[in-house]
Amino acid sequence: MNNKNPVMKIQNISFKKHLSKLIYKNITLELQQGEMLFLKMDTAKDVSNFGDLTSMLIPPLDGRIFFDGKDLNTLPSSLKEESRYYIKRVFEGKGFISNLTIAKNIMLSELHHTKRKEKDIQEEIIKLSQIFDITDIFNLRPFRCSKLHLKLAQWIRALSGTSKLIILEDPFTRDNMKNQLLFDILNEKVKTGISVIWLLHSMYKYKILEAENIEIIDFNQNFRDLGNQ
Amino acid sequence: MPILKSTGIIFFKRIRQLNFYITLSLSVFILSLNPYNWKRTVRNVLARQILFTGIDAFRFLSIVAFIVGIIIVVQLKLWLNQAGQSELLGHILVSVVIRELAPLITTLIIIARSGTAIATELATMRVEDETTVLEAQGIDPVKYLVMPRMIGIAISVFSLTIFFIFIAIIGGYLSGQLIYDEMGIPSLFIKSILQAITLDDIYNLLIKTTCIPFLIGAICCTQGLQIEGAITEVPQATSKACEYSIELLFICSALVSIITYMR
Repeated sequence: MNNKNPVMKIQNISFKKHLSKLIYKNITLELQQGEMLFLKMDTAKDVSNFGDLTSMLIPPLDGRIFFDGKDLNTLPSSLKEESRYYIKRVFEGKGFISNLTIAKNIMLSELHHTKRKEKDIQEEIIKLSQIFDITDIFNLRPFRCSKLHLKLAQWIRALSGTSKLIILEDPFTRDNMKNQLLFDILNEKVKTGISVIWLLHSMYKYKILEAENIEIIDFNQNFRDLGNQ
Repeated sequence: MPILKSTGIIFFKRIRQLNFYITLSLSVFILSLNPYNWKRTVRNVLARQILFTGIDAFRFLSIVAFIVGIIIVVQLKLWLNQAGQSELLGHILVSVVIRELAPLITTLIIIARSGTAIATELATMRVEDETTVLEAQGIDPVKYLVMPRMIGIAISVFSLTIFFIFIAIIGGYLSGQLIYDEMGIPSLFIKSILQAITLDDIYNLLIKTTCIPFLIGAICCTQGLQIEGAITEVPQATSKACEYSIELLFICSALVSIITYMR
Protein backbone atom coordinates (compact mmCIF):
# COMPACT_ATOMS: atom_id res chain seq x y z
CA MET A 1 0.00 0.00 0.00
CA ASN A 2 1.31 3.44 -0.88
CA ASN A 3 1.02 5.83 2.08
CA LYS A 4 2.81 8.67 0.34
CA ASN A 5 0.96 11.79 -0.79
CA PRO A 6 1.38 13.29 -4.24
CA VAL A 7 3.45 16.47 -3.97
CA MET A 8 2.81 17.51 -7.52
CA LYS A 9 -0.01 16.37 -9.74
CA ILE A 10 -0.12 17.54 -13.33
CA GLN A 11 -3.49 16.80 -14.93
CA ASN A 12 -3.93 16.87 -18.69
CA ILE A 13 -2.01 20.06 -19.23
CA SER A 14 -1.00 21.42 -22.61
CA PHE A 15 1.52 24.11 -23.35
CA LYS A 16 3.03 25.68 -26.41
CA LYS A 17 6.64 25.18 -27.34
CA HIS A 18 8.58 28.43 -27.48
CA LEU A 19 8.57 30.09 -30.96
CA SER A 20 6.85 27.13 -32.55
CA LYS A 21 3.39 25.86 -33.43
CA LEU A 22 4.19 22.63 -31.65
CA ILE A 23 2.06 21.95 -28.63
CA TYR A 24 2.79 19.50 -25.84
CA LYS A 25 -0.51 17.86 -25.01
CA ASN A 26 -2.18 15.65 -22.39
CA ILE A 27 0.71 15.83 -19.96
CA THR A 28 -0.30 13.87 -16.90
CA LEU A 29 2.35 13.27 -14.29
CA GLU A 30 2.25 12.52 -10.61
CA LEU A 31 5.12 12.93 -8.22
CA GLN A 32 4.89 11.31 -4.80
CA GLN A 33 6.69 12.42 -1.66
CA GLY A 34 10.32 11.37 -1.84
CA GLU A 35 10.29 10.62 -5.55
CA MET A 36 12.52 11.79 -8.37
CA LEU A 37 11.26 12.44 -11.88
CA PHE A 38 13.56 12.87 -14.87
CA LEU A 39 12.29 14.64 -17.98
CA LYS A 40 14.32 15.25 -21.11
CA MET A 41 13.28 18.40 -22.93
CA ASP A 42 14.13 19.59 -26.43
CA THR A 43 15.56 23.02 -25.74
CA ALA A 44 16.74 25.17 -22.86
CA LYS A 45 13.68 27.37 -23.32
CA ASP A 46 11.39 24.33 -22.94
CA VAL A 47 13.17 23.55 -19.69
CA SER A 48 12.57 27.02 -18.24
CA ASN A 49 9.02 27.13 -19.62
CA PHE A 50 8.12 23.86 -17.97
CA GLY A 51 9.77 25.09 -14.75
CA ASP A 52 7.62 28.23 -14.88
CA LEU A 53 4.56 26.14 -15.64
CA THR A 54 5.03 23.82 -12.66
CA SER A 55 5.54 26.83 -10.37
CA MET A 56 2.39 28.37 -11.92
CA LEU A 57 4.22 31.43 -13.15
CA ILE A 58 2.73 30.87 -16.58
CA PRO A 59 -0.66 29.24 -17.03
CA PRO A 60 -1.01 26.10 -19.17
CA LEU A 61 -3.17 26.22 -22.29
CA ASP A 62 -5.29 23.56 -20.70
CA GLY A 63 -5.44 21.34 -17.61
CA ARG A 64 -4.65 21.75 -13.91
CA ILE A 65 -1.59 21.59 -11.67
CA PHE A 66 -1.80 20.61 -8.01
CA PHE A 67 0.95 21.22 -5.51
CA ASP A 68 0.59 19.61 -2.11
CA GLY A 69 -3.07 18.90 -2.87
CA LYS A 70 -3.89 22.51 -3.79
CA ASP A 71 -4.71 23.81 -7.24
CA LEU A 72 -2.16 26.59 -7.55
CA ASN A 73 -4.22 28.41 -10.14
CA THR A 74 -7.19 28.89 -7.85
CA LEU A 75 -5.24 29.82 -4.72
CA PRO A 76 -5.30 33.44 -3.48
CA SER A 77 -2.03 35.21 -4.18
CA SER A 78 -0.75 35.16 -0.59
CA LEU A 79 -1.21 31.37 -0.35
CA LYS A 80 0.29 30.94 -3.81
CA GLU A 81 3.37 32.85 -2.64
CA GLU A 82 3.56 30.71 0.48
CA SER A 83 3.30 27.52 -1.61
CA ARG A 84 6.06 28.68 -3.91
CA TYR A 85 8.40 29.00 -0.93
CA TYR A 86 8.30 25.19 -0.65
CA ILE A 87 9.22 24.79 -4.33
CA LYS A 88 12.96 25.38 -4.70
CA ARG A 89 14.34 25.88 -8.17
CA VAL A 90 17.69 25.75 -9.88
CA PHE A 91 16.97 28.01 -12.83
CA GLU A 92 18.14 27.30 -16.34
CA GLY A 93 19.38 30.89 -16.60
CA LYS A 94 21.18 33.13 -14.12
CA GLY A 95 18.48 33.07 -11.47
CA PHE A 96 19.78 35.90 -9.29
CA ILE A 97 18.86 39.47 -8.42
CA SER A 98 21.74 41.59 -9.69
CA ASN A 99 21.72 44.26 -6.99
CA LEU A 100 22.06 41.75 -4.16
CA THR A 101 25.18 39.84 -3.20
CA ILE A 102 25.25 36.07 -3.72
CA ALA A 103 24.74 35.52 0.02
CA LYS A 104 21.73 37.87 0.12
CA ASN A 105 20.33 36.16 -2.97
CA ILE A 106 20.64 32.73 -1.42
CA MET A 107 19.06 33.89 1.84
CA LEU A 108 16.33 36.04 0.25
CA SER A 109 13.52 33.48 0.23
CA GLU A 110 14.29 32.26 3.77
CA LEU A 111 14.46 35.81 5.09
CA HIS A 112 11.23 36.70 3.32
CA HIS A 113 9.08 33.73 4.27
CA THR A 114 10.41 32.59 7.63
CA LYS A 115 11.24 34.11 10.98
CA ARG A 116 14.54 32.21 11.20
CA LYS A 117 17.46 34.22 12.52
CA GLU A 118 19.74 35.53 9.80
CA LYS A 119 22.70 34.01 11.60
CA ASP A 120 21.15 30.52 11.48
CA ILE A 121 20.42 30.83 7.76
CA GLN A 122 23.97 32.03 7.17
CA GLU A 123 25.39 29.06 9.09
CA GLU A 124 23.34 26.67 6.96
CA ILE A 125 24.48 28.15 3.67
CA ILE A 126 28.10 28.33 4.83
CA LYS A 127 27.99 24.60 5.60
CA LEU A 128 26.61 23.87 2.13
CA SER A 129 29.05 26.22 0.46
CA GLN A 130 31.94 24.44 2.16
CA ILE A 131 30.74 21.19 0.62
CA PHE A 132 30.75 22.75 -2.85
CA ASP A 133 33.82 24.89 -2.12
CA ILE A 134 32.46 28.34 -3.04
CA THR A 135 32.69 30.33 0.20
CA ASP A 136 34.76 33.07 -1.44
CA ILE A 137 31.96 34.38 -3.69
CA PHE A 138 29.40 35.18 -1.01
CA ASN A 139 30.03 38.90 -0.86
CA LEU A 140 30.20 39.35 -4.62
CA ARG A 141 27.41 40.53 -6.87
CA PRO A 142 26.25 37.94 -9.45
CA PHE A 143 27.85 39.75 -12.41
CA ARG A 144 31.29 39.20 -10.84
CA CYS A 145 30.84 35.42 -10.65
CA SER A 146 31.54 32.74 -13.23
CA LYS A 147 28.74 30.61 -14.68
CA LEU A 148 29.98 27.62 -12.67
CA HIS A 149 29.91 29.56 -9.42
CA LEU A 150 26.44 30.93 -10.16
CA LYS A 151 25.15 27.41 -10.77
CA LEU A 152 26.73 26.15 -7.55
CA ALA A 153 25.20 29.09 -5.66
CA GLN A 154 21.83 28.11 -7.12
CA TRP A 155 22.34 24.55 -5.85
CA ILE A 156 22.96 25.91 -2.36
CA ARG A 157 19.82 28.03 -2.54
CA ALA A 158 17.75 25.03 -3.66
CA LEU A 159 19.17 22.78 -0.95
CA SER A 160 18.84 25.21 1.94
CA GLY A 161 15.74 25.91 4.01
CA THR A 162 12.54 23.91 4.02
CA SER A 163 11.28 22.45 0.78
CA LYS A 164 8.77 19.92 -0.47
CA LEU A 165 9.77 19.97 -4.10
CA ILE A 166 13.02 20.83 -5.86
CA ILE A 167 12.86 21.63 -9.57
CA LEU A 168 16.24 21.35 -11.26
CA GLU A 169 16.42 22.99 -14.66
CA ASP A 170 19.46 21.57 -16.43
CA PRO A 171 21.37 21.73 -13.14
CA PHE A 172 24.65 20.01 -13.89
CA THR A 173 27.92 21.78 -14.57
CA ARG A 174 31.04 20.61 -16.39
CA ASP A 175 32.54 19.64 -13.05
CA ASN A 176 31.59 15.98 -12.66
CA MET A 177 32.82 15.69 -9.11
CA LYS A 178 30.53 18.47 -8.00
CA ASN A 179 27.69 16.99 -10.08
CA GLN A 180 28.12 13.67 -8.27
CA LEU A 181 28.08 15.54 -4.96
CA LEU A 182 24.80 17.23 -5.86
CA PHE A 183 23.30 13.94 -6.96
CA ASP A 184 24.29 12.28 -3.67
CA ILE A 185 22.92 15.13 -1.55
CA LEU A 186 19.66 15.06 -3.50
CA ASN A 187 19.38 11.32 -2.94
CA GLU A 188 19.68 12.00 0.79
CA LYS A 189 17.00 14.70 0.54
CA VAL A 190 14.70 12.32 -1.30
CA LYS A 191 15.01 9.84 1.56
CA THR A 192 13.65 12.55 3.90
CA GLY A 193 10.50 12.90 1.74
CA ILE A 194 11.49 15.75 -0.57
CA SER A 195 10.55 15.27 -4.23
CA VAL A 196 12.76 16.28 -7.13
CA ILE A 197 11.96 17.05 -10.76
CA TRP A 198 14.95 17.01 -13.10
CA LEU A 199 14.40 18.90 -16.32
CA LEU A 200 17.27 17.96 -18.59
CA HIS A 201 18.44 19.41 -21.84
CA SER A 202 22.20 19.17 -22.45
CA MET A 203 22.43 15.40 -22.12
CA TYR A 204 26.23 15.25 -22.47
CA LYS A 205 26.44 16.48 -18.86
CA TYR A 206 24.37 13.63 -17.49
CA LYS A 207 26.74 10.66 -17.60
CA ILE A 208 26.16 10.20 -13.87
CA LEU A 209 22.48 9.56 -14.49
CA GLU A 210 23.27 7.07 -17.26
CA ALA A 211 25.62 5.23 -14.91
CA GLU A 212 22.88 5.06 -12.28
CA ASN A 213 20.55 3.49 -14.86
CA ILE A 214 17.88 6.09 -14.32
CA GLU A 215 14.74 6.15 -16.45
CA ILE A 216 14.45 9.46 -18.25
CA ILE A 217 11.12 10.39 -19.83
CA ASP A 218 11.55 11.96 -23.25
CA PHE A 219 9.14 14.85 -23.19
CA ASN A 220 9.08 15.32 -26.93
CA GLN A 221 8.28 11.69 -27.67
CA ASN A 222 5.64 11.31 -24.99
CA PHE A 223 3.71 14.54 -25.09
CA ARG A 224 4.13 16.05 -28.53
CA ASP A 225 0.83 16.80 -30.23
CA LEU A 226 1.34 15.14 -33.60
CA GLY A 227 -1.72 16.77 -35.10
CA ASN A 228 -0.40 20.28 -34.57
CA GLN A 229 2.98 20.51 -36.24
CA MET B 1 -8.89 68.93 -37.65
CA PRO B 2 -6.13 66.27 -37.56
CA ILE B 3 -4.31 68.43 -34.97
CA LEU B 4 -7.45 68.58 -32.84
CA LYS B 5 -7.93 64.84 -33.22
CA SER B 6 -4.37 63.98 -32.22
CA THR B 7 -4.52 66.42 -29.29
CA GLY B 8 -7.70 64.72 -28.13
CA ILE B 9 -6.12 61.28 -28.46
CA ILE B 10 -3.07 62.37 -26.44
CA PHE B 11 -5.30 64.03 -23.82
CA PHE B 12 -7.46 60.94 -23.29
CA LYS B 13 -4.37 58.69 -23.29
CA ARG B 14 -2.89 60.83 -20.52
CA ILE B 15 -6.15 60.73 -18.56
CA ARG B 16 -6.20 56.93 -18.82
CA GLN B 17 -2.55 56.79 -17.70
CA LEU B 18 -3.25 59.09 -14.76
CA ASN B 19 -6.22 56.94 -13.82
CA PHE B 20 -3.94 53.87 -13.88
CA TYR B 21 -1.26 55.54 -11.73
CA ILE B 22 -3.85 56.73 -9.20
CA THR B 23 -5.36 53.22 -9.02
CA LEU B 24 -1.91 51.66 -8.60
CA SER B 25 -1.00 54.19 -5.91
CA LEU B 26 -4.20 53.48 -3.99
CA SER B 27 -3.65 49.70 -4.27
CA VAL B 28 -0.06 50.02 -3.05
CA PHE B 29 -1.17 52.33 -0.24
CA ILE B 30 -3.77 49.76 0.88
CA LEU B 31 -1.15 46.98 0.62
CA SER B 32 1.22 49.03 2.77
CA LEU B 33 -1.35 49.28 5.57
CA ASN B 34 -1.16 45.52 6.15
CA PRO B 35 1.77 44.77 8.51
CA TYR B 36 1.96 41.21 7.04
CA ASN B 37 3.30 42.76 3.81
CA TRP B 38 6.17 44.44 5.66
CA LYS B 39 8.44 41.42 5.90
CA ARG B 40 12.06 42.02 6.84
CA THR B 41 13.24 41.79 3.23
CA VAL B 42 10.73 44.48 2.23
CA ARG B 43 11.76 46.65 5.20
CA ASN B 44 15.38 46.32 4.01
CA VAL B 45 14.42 47.56 0.54
CA LEU B 46 12.59 50.51 2.13
CA ALA B 47 15.62 51.37 4.26
CA ARG B 48 17.91 51.25 1.22
CA GLN B 49 15.48 53.41 -0.77
CA ILE B 50 15.36 56.05 1.97
CA LEU B 51 19.15 55.96 2.21
CA PHE B 52 19.57 56.41 -1.52
CA THR B 53 16.72 58.86 -2.14
CA GLY B 54 16.70 60.80 1.10
CA ILE B 55 20.05 60.70 2.86
CA ASP B 56 22.35 60.54 -0.17
CA ALA B 57 20.55 63.48 -1.81
CA PHE B 58 20.80 65.67 1.28
CA ARG B 59 24.15 67.32 0.48
CA PHE B 60 23.17 68.30 -3.06
CA LEU B 61 19.74 69.46 -1.95
CA SER B 62 21.25 71.59 0.83
CA ILE B 63 23.43 73.46 -1.66
CA VAL B 64 20.47 74.09 -3.97
CA ALA B 65 18.25 75.18 -1.05
CA PHE B 66 20.88 77.58 0.28
CA ILE B 67 21.35 79.21 -3.12
CA VAL B 68 17.57 79.41 -3.70
CA GLY B 69 17.23 81.13 -0.31
CA ILE B 70 19.91 83.68 -1.26
CA ILE B 71 18.37 84.39 -4.68
CA ILE B 72 14.86 84.86 -3.32
CA VAL B 73 15.78 87.11 -0.41
CA VAL B 74 18.09 89.26 -2.55
CA GLN B 75 15.34 89.80 -5.12
CA LEU B 76 12.57 90.27 -2.57
CA LYS B 77 14.57 92.74 -0.52
CA LEU B 78 15.41 94.73 -3.62
CA TRP B 79 11.78 95.06 -4.78
CA LEU B 80 10.15 95.31 -1.38
CA ASN B 81 12.54 98.08 -0.31
CA GLN B 82 11.69 100.02 -3.44
CA ALA B 83 7.99 99.56 -2.70
CA GLY B 84 8.54 100.39 0.96
CA GLN B 85 6.99 97.07 2.02
CA SER B 86 9.97 95.26 3.56
CA GLU B 87 7.81 93.95 6.44
CA LEU B 88 6.13 91.64 3.89
CA LEU B 89 9.32 89.62 3.45
CA GLY B 90 8.16 86.82 5.77
CA HIS B 91 4.80 86.48 4.04
CA ILE B 92 6.26 86.42 0.56
CA LEU B 93 9.01 84.01 1.59
CA VAL B 94 6.35 81.66 2.92
CA SER B 95 4.36 82.02 -0.30
CA VAL B 96 7.30 81.39 -2.55
CA VAL B 97 9.42 78.86 -0.66
CA ILE B 98 7.07 76.89 1.56
CA ARG B 99 4.05 76.85 -0.73
CA GLU B 100 5.68 76.35 -4.10
CA LEU B 101 9.45 76.21 -4.55
CA ALA B 102 10.50 73.82 -1.80
CA PRO B 103 8.17 70.95 -2.78
CA LEU B 104 8.66 71.61 -6.49
CA ILE B 105 12.47 71.76 -6.50
CA THR B 106 12.84 68.87 -4.02
CA THR B 107 10.57 66.63 -6.10
CA LEU B 108 12.36 67.65 -9.30
CA ILE B 109 15.71 66.70 -7.77
CA ILE B 110 14.30 63.37 -6.60
CA ILE B 111 12.86 62.64 -10.06
CA ALA B 112 16.21 63.36 -11.68
CA ARG B 113 18.21 61.47 -9.07
CA SER B 114 16.06 58.58 -7.90
CA GLY B 115 13.03 58.36 -10.19
CA THR B 116 15.20 57.70 -13.22
CA ALA B 117 17.39 55.32 -11.21
CA ILE B 118 14.33 53.33 -10.12
CA ALA B 119 12.98 53.12 -13.68
CA THR B 120 16.37 51.98 -15.00
CA GLU B 121 16.89 49.45 -12.22
CA LEU B 122 13.46 47.88 -12.59
CA ALA B 123 13.65 47.88 -16.39
CA THR B 124 17.02 46.09 -16.21
CA MET B 125 15.52 43.59 -13.79
CA ARG B 126 12.75 42.92 -16.32
CA VAL B 127 15.28 42.44 -19.12
CA GLU B 128 17.25 40.00 -16.96
CA ASP B 129 14.01 38.20 -15.99
CA GLU B 130 14.75 38.85 -12.33
CA THR B 131 11.09 39.51 -11.54
CA THR B 132 10.37 35.89 -12.53
CA VAL B 133 13.12 34.76 -10.15
CA LEU B 134 11.40 36.69 -7.36
CA GLU B 135 7.97 35.30 -8.21
CA ALA B 136 9.33 31.76 -8.40
CA GLN B 137 10.54 32.18 -4.82
CA GLY B 138 7.08 33.31 -3.73
CA ILE B 139 8.04 36.98 -3.52
CA ASP B 140 5.50 39.35 -5.07
CA PRO B 141 7.38 41.99 -7.14
CA VAL B 142 4.74 44.61 -6.29
CA LYS B 143 5.22 44.11 -2.55
CA TYR B 144 8.99 43.66 -2.74
CA LEU B 145 10.00 46.10 -5.48
CA VAL B 146 7.23 48.67 -5.95
CA MET B 147 5.73 49.25 -2.48
CA PRO B 148 8.96 50.09 -0.59
CA ARG B 149 10.19 52.29 -3.43
CA MET B 150 6.99 54.34 -3.58
CA ILE B 151 6.83 54.72 0.21
CA GLY B 152 10.58 55.47 0.31
CA ILE B 153 10.20 58.26 -2.24
CA ALA B 154 7.25 59.80 -0.37
CA ILE B 155 9.08 59.71 3.00
CA SER B 156 12.27 61.11 1.43
CA VAL B 157 10.56 63.95 -0.44
CA PHE B 158 8.60 64.95 2.66
CA SER B 159 11.72 65.00 4.88
CA LEU B 160 13.92 66.67 2.28
CA THR B 161 11.32 69.40 1.66
CA ILE B 162 11.30 70.28 5.37
CA PHE B 163 15.12 70.48 5.26
CA PHE B 164 14.93 72.50 2.05
CA ILE B 165 12.67 75.07 3.73
CA PHE B 166 14.97 75.41 6.77
CA ILE B 167 18.12 75.71 4.70
CA ALA B 168 16.56 78.14 2.21
CA ILE B 169 15.37 80.34 5.07
CA ILE B 170 18.80 80.22 6.73
CA GLY B 171 20.46 81.03 3.37
CA GLY B 172 18.00 83.88 2.81
CA TYR B 173 18.51 85.33 6.26
CA LEU B 174 22.31 85.14 6.11
CA SER B 175 22.51 86.67 2.64
CA GLY B 176 20.05 89.45 3.58
CA GLN B 177 22.04 90.18 6.68
CA LEU B 178 25.37 90.20 4.82
CA ILE B 179 24.21 92.22 1.82
CA TYR B 180 21.65 94.64 3.30
CA ASP B 181 22.37 94.35 7.00
CA GLU B 182 18.72 94.96 7.79
CA MET B 183 17.19 91.55 8.41
CA GLY B 184 16.83 92.18 12.12
CA ILE B 185 17.43 89.65 14.83
CA PRO B 186 16.88 86.01 13.80
CA SER B 187 14.01 85.46 16.24
CA LEU B 188 12.00 88.30 14.69
CA PHE B 189 12.67 87.00 11.19
CA ILE B 190 11.55 83.50 12.17
CA LYS B 191 8.53 84.94 13.99
CA SER B 192 7.45 86.84 10.87
CA ILE B 193 7.70 83.62 8.87
CA LEU B 194 5.82 81.54 11.44
CA GLN B 195 3.06 84.16 11.60
CA ALA B 196 2.67 83.98 7.85
CA ILE B 197 2.15 80.19 7.82
CA THR B 198 -1.51 79.16 7.71
CA LEU B 199 -3.23 75.79 8.07
CA ASP B 200 -3.78 75.80 4.31
CA ASP B 201 0.01 76.01 3.82
CA ILE B 202 0.46 72.88 5.89
CA TYR B 203 -2.22 70.94 3.95
CA ASN B 204 -0.74 72.17 0.69
CA LEU B 205 2.76 71.12 1.74
CA LEU B 206 1.60 67.71 2.98
CA ILE B 207 -0.22 66.89 -0.27
CA LYS B 208 2.62 68.11 -2.43
CA THR B 209 5.30 66.23 -0.51
CA THR B 210 3.51 62.93 0.03
CA CYS B 211 0.74 62.28 -2.52
CA ILE B 212 2.55 63.66 -5.57
CA PRO B 213 5.87 61.84 -4.84
CA PHE B 214 3.85 58.66 -4.22
CA LEU B 215 2.31 59.03 -7.69
CA ILE B 216 5.75 59.75 -9.16
CA GLY B 217 7.02 56.55 -7.54
CA ALA B 218 4.16 54.70 -9.23
CA ILE B 219 5.09 56.21 -12.61
CA CYS B 220 8.78 55.32 -12.33
CA CYS B 221 8.12 51.77 -11.13
CA THR B 222 5.48 51.17 -13.81
CA GLN B 223 7.63 52.52 -16.63
CA GLY B 224 10.48 50.28 -15.47
CA LEU B 225 8.42 47.13 -15.04
CA GLN B 226 6.27 47.38 -18.15
CA ILE B 227 9.03 46.92 -20.73
CA GLU B 228 8.86 43.79 -22.83
CA GLY B 229 12.41 42.58 -22.43
CA ALA B 230 14.84 44.22 -24.89
CA ILE B 231 17.80 46.10 -23.43
CA THR B 232 17.18 48.97 -25.88
CA GLU B 233 13.90 49.67 -24.10
CA VAL B 234 15.66 50.53 -20.84
CA PRO B 235 16.73 54.11 -21.75
CA GLN B 236 13.30 54.68 -23.32
CA ALA B 237 11.61 53.60 -20.09
CA THR B 238 13.88 55.92 -18.11
CA SER B 239 13.21 58.97 -20.25
CA LYS B 240 9.46 58.26 -20.30
CA ALA B 241 9.46 57.93 -16.51
CA CYS B 242 11.28 61.26 -16.22
CA GLU B 243 9.01 63.02 -18.71
CA TYR B 244 5.72 61.74 -17.24
CA SER B 245 6.88 62.42 -13.69
CA ILE B 246 7.81 66.04 -14.41
CA GLU B 247 4.57 66.54 -16.32
CA LEU B 248 2.54 65.14 -13.44
CA LEU B 249 4.53 67.12 -10.88
CA PHE B 250 3.79 70.47 -12.53
CA ILE B 251 0.14 69.72 -13.32
CA CYS B 252 -0.65 68.34 -9.86
CA SER B 253 1.29 71.10 -8.07
CA ALA B 254 -0.68 73.72 -9.97
CA LEU B 255 -3.96 71.93 -9.27
CA VAL B 256 -3.21 71.59 -5.54
CA SER B 257 -2.28 75.29 -5.33
CA ILE B 258 -5.43 76.32 -7.18
CA ILE B 259 -7.66 74.14 -4.99
CA THR B 260 -5.93 75.27 -1.76
CA TYR B 261 -5.59 79.00 -2.33
CA MET B 262 -8.26 80.00 -4.87
CA ARG B 263 -11.19 79.03 -2.68
